[in-house]
Amino acid sequence: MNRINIQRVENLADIDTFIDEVKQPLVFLAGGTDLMVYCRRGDNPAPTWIDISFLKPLTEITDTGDTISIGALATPRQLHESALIQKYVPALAKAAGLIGSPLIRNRATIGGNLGNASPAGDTIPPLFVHRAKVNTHYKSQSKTLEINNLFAGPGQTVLRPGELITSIDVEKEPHIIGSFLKLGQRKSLQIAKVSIAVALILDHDIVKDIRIALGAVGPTVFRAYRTEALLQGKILHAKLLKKAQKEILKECNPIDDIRSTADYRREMVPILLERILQDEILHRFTNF
Amino acid sequence: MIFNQVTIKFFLNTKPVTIRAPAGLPLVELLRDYFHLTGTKKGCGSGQCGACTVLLDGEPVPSCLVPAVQVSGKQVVTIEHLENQENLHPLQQAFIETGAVQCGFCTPGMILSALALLKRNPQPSVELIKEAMAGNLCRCTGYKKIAQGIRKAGEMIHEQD
Repeated sequence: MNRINIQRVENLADIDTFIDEVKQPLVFLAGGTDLMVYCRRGDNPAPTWIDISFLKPLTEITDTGDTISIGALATPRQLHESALIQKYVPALAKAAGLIGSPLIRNRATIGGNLGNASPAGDTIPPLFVHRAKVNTHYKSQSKTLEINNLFAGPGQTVLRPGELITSIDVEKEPHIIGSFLKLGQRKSLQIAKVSIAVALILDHDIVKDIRIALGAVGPTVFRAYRTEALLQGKILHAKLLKKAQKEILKECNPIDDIRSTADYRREMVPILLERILQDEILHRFTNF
Repeated sequence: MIFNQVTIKFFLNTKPVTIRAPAGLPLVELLRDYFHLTGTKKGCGSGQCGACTVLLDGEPVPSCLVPAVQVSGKQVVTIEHLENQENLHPLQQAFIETGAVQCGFCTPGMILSALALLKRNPQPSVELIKEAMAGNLCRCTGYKKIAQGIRKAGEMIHEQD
């Protein structure tokens, strides 16, 4: 019989105590929108769940001056509605509004989305393009990782058991614009078949410092560096876009899975690139 | 799965309550089986259909995904809270008048999500209603009358004030 012990912690030090006392595999319980689903399915990830949902400081989104600091317990709803996130992490504000449904957005957390490490996780491509840094806590030690280094494979982070994501930092870039698109089965309650995030700075009509990340078309989310290099410092026009579409196709590595086929994903990646650059960036953020 | 038993103190439809239950019991089961409040329905069990919607500190949540232990100290409002008032809530009245109820299974969840929406936005557009209600599924009505019911309720509330 599968036994699960849920232990609430009131502060980070309690977690360290538990890791030492409980010499068993453990996971962190935040909103429960992944764990409770696994549990119901009969897949128990660990016999001890550490309930971190009462750690209030982790729910805050703050402007530290140089960075926006996002607590790991911030919900998609908070992220979507936050003026700070809309201004400084626009791709994340957009993505957060597309997670699950309004009900799920009241319970899910950004830390959980990262910890679950699905290549289709909606907060992940935006954090890649905003060059986020992830802060963790483990046995009284804090560590910071670049978001690109957090994921080891589908469903896997590089974190040790008991290592908790506490916050995510994004450097404030004054003229940053960005967006996120997700392709799924329906308008809501959909896990991405393909997702794309873009962040860039526009100098008149010249693309500066463009970053593009793709989700659900590789073992982890990744940056399309070669496609970015093609667009860097250029004016976005139809011929250049066609070149970029060819290149981005070469950068992705989709598979057939429960949600979609590799063929369909390959068809849609270039189309999403066009949509996000035309509709989301050029039409929404500029006067073009 | 067998969870550790815990004592949970919270507010159920504004009343302080204390209960002993498995820590990871889904809130929907706590409400239905321990408190015998069967107005909250079990649908998909995975947070997608919205039949189990309750308000947790005023926000609509899928109660099938909330572990019982996490409601500690919080306000939980179920559809029964509207039953406890003297008259039908404008949402209930409007749903009846517009024909927004067929089998009624999705209705408690719809009403609670709509209640939260109208608190935030007393006269929502149809577009906003569609967005806000996206987490509540209905297999009977085709949603049109539900949206009409919500708009009507918003107007009724506006006239009352």
